[in-house]
Amino acid sequence: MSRLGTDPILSIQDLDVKFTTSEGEVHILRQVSLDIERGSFLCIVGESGCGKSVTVHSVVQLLPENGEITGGRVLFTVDGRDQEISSMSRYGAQIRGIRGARIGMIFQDTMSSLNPAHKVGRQVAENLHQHRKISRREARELVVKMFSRLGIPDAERRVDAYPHEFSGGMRQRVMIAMAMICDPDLLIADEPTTALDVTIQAQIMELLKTLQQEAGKTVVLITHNMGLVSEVADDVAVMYLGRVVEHGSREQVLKNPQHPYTQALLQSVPFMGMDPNVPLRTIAGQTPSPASVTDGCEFAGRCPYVQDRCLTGKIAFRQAADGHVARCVLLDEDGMSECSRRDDARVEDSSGQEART
Amino acid sequence: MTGTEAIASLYRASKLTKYFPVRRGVLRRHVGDVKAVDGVDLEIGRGETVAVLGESGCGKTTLGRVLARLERPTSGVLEYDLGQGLEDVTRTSGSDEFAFRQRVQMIFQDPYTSFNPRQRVGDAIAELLSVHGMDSSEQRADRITEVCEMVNIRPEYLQRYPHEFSGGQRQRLSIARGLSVRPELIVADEIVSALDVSIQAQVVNILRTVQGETRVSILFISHDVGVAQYISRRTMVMYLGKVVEVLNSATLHERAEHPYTQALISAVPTMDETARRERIVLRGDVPSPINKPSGCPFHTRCSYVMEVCRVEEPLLRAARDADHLHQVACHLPEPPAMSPLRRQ
Amino acid sequence: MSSHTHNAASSLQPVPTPRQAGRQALRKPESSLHAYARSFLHNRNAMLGLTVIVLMVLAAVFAEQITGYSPTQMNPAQSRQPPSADHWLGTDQLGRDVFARVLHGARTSIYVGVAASLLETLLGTVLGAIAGYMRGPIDGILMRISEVVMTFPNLILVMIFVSLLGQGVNNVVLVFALSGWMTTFRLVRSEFMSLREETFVEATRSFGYSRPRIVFKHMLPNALSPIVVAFTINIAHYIIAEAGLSFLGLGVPVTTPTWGNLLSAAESSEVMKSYWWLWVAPALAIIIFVTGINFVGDGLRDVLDPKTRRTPVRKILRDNLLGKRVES
Repeated sequence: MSRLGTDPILSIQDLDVKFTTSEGEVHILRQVSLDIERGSFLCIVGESGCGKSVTVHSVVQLLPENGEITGGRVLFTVDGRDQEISSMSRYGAQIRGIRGARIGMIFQDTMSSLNPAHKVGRQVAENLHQHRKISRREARELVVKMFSRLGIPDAERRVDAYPHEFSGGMRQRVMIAMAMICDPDLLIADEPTTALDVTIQAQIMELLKTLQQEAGKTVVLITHNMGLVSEVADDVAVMYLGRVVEHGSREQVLKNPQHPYTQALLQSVPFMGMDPNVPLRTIAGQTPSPASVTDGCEFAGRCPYVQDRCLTGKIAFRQAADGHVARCVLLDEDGMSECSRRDDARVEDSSGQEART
Repeated sequence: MTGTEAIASLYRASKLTKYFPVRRGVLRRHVGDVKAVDGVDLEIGRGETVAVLGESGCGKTTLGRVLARLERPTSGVLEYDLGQGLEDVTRTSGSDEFAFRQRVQMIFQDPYTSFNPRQRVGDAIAELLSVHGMDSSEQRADRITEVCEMVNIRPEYLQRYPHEFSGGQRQRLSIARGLSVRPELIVADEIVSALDVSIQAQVVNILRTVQGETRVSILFISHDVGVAQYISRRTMVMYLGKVVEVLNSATLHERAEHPYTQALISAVPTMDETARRERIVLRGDVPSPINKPSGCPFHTRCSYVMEVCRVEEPLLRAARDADHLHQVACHLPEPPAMSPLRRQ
Repeated sequence: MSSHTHNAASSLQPVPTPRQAGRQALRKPESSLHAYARSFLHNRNAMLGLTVIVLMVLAAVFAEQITGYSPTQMNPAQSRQPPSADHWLGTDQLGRDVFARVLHGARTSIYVGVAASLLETLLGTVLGAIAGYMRGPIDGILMRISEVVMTFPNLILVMIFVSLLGQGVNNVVLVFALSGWMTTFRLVRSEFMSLREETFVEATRSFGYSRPRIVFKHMLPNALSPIVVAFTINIAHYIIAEAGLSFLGLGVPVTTPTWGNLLSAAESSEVMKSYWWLWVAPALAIIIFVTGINFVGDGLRDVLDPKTRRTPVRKILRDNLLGKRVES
């Protein structure tokens, strides 16, 4: 299915992840495939439980104890060398050489990601010491430089402050500094602004965008905010119930969504200046448990256009346009989906009736 | 919605403040106050939906709790129409308080904790009805069925305990419970912010339908400009415990006059590319509500700051545009232009 | 009965109206008590503990029929006989049957344990609920009192109370409750303090519910599990305390057999060494009973406390998907 990429930095191929729970094994990711173009800004969108976090955590081998990659592979390409991350040992030196050094991670919860007992400068520098032979003074200088580059005012003094002395937005900048300090090629940000106010979110997004455009970093942003996606993304991948359901450029996915789920997601958010007389689009029922959907299209139970052929077999990706794919049977060969044609006529009953389970 | 229709007043708050004392040390010395709500005037009409919009720490939640009388105001007057025009309910107790508690229902942010975990949801609604005077169990069951239909929950589900429902269902049940006693005002505190977007849409749609059917007034507290604008007629923007601007929701993204509101709007990511504006980046962080700046609360971050802003607190006054709903608390003689639309 | 007829009647109607469906829906199919009982019955340790307790209580009740001896009937000729077919657990220095005395002792010991724990729990719960809900000066006063009581070494406190009230079975119960209520008080108080901040309690306040309704109908049931668990485990605690007190000669008068009074026979090293059956029997009785109680207490904790109840798959999944560690 992979899009025609010329130079992917990260290639996720048919990734399967299973979690062992008290009630057995649950298939959390199913055949997730994504090629991430070097220097691009990819947004992975989806609601809670869609597997977007698990995807990026498996990329850096940071799955929880009970999670395991059971199939597929992850290729990370730097300096013309392919490295198969998925085959590296979870705690091995190889992955540690990549994680933090070549791939920087930024998480949502800044308070628990920073150790409250240590000065932030030291925590950022620790990452440097981990990956490079460097003196304390040099490390400190680099941290100060990074802080001021990321817009932390009074950087010289602030490196000696403790996490609680920072506001939420500033803590997130420290997290970005930590991820950036080793000059990684790929930055993965997992809902970095969900806990922040919009004015602060705007600052952080500006910063990530600058890092991509000016420093040439590849950025993967996980978010549920479609507005955000439309402002920062180059490429968009939409996930639902452990699968990528649509993937394309921002223009393609947002302007011409092909999968019914993407369409619904886009119309469910009230945006500024929207006509208040138009009811919001809802998706009937709730996301089912990943264990309950094994055959056919995972969205079939909630899809307003569901047909018999959605219920069984493997639903393959179909191409809607160059580089724009969606996993929907309604997408026919000429690249125009039946549901988008029908879409104007049909607005989901505003109530969101319970799906029969 | 021109704002010309006359609406009977339901609830009015004047000069409302809520301070939380800050105590330090072994002797619990009083070292200052968190001025969560600091002199708010507000009026809600019958059948009106008012949004309170602001970022974290602006005092919007405290305002809602004071209005629902879950917190006692430090000062100020609350007046509510209990049948004979507005009357002072700031400190009422006994039957007046009881009447108020039926007429004003609060819906809380966290759908996971707003039901008693040991009580079936059906029983929880029935209990509220019976406390508020519906004695016949058949009547109660009928009313419960009715409100559940309003929020699209099947009556069979009422047998279940709260933990058996999803977040969105629970939030709908909270609405059903509040609606069951036919309130006049619903105070909704960030009720969709814990929900996924598609579920959020269900709850927003339900609230709007219900509002249309029952003409209940809604005070919708939110940090989300899009949702607040979509659901309400009028929006109050709060910053550091004060109302900085009151404006018509439909046009807030075009007509905001307060520099803070403008910055807030410019920061909202939007899918509507034609509405996307140049971002106004605010300097620094929100000052602490304990040591509030003198004068205008926003002057420390405002790019149009003048001498007078540091000294004198601006009062809400009629805005420059023709809309009589529109009020703004700003010293600037002319409102700054909204930041220009971004070129694609 | 009425629900049966109603259901039968409604099943005759082909399509119930929404209204009827709604009314029927409000009828309860199974109480939560049933559900708790079911999961308790599946808890192996708890059931083992419960079996032991029930057997021992039954044995105590039917002591005469089981042993055929009176606990006070002396027979100097049979003094200090080792266990035999006649006397399964031997006899003491006065020739009384030890088995009979252990079973009769069980009556008093178990009574003291249960009664003291009940009284203590009642006292601690009422005071704790008041302090936790009201806060302010009432809470302050109750807290200071509990602190003062707790600063005394427990044994000294008990001795003071005993000397004030005199010895006797019910006095021991009273003394235990008076000197032990603080732990339950603090437990309940802190439960109520955190419950008070819960949104659903806030909601009941915003509904205009009366204070007793909020405290007893909504808060107490949510604080009940730790109270029940504490009550159960306190029974074990007080049985041991009774034994200790009686061993010191401060508890139940020696004329009444209790496990503690029987144990005190082992005060001399001579008995310890040569007449082991005199102390092994009551000691074993205490250990087995107390272990049984603790098993039941743990089982109750598992069943009643929703936080330790088996985590549903959905939650584990949600946590996993959010990248959180799954709570064990």
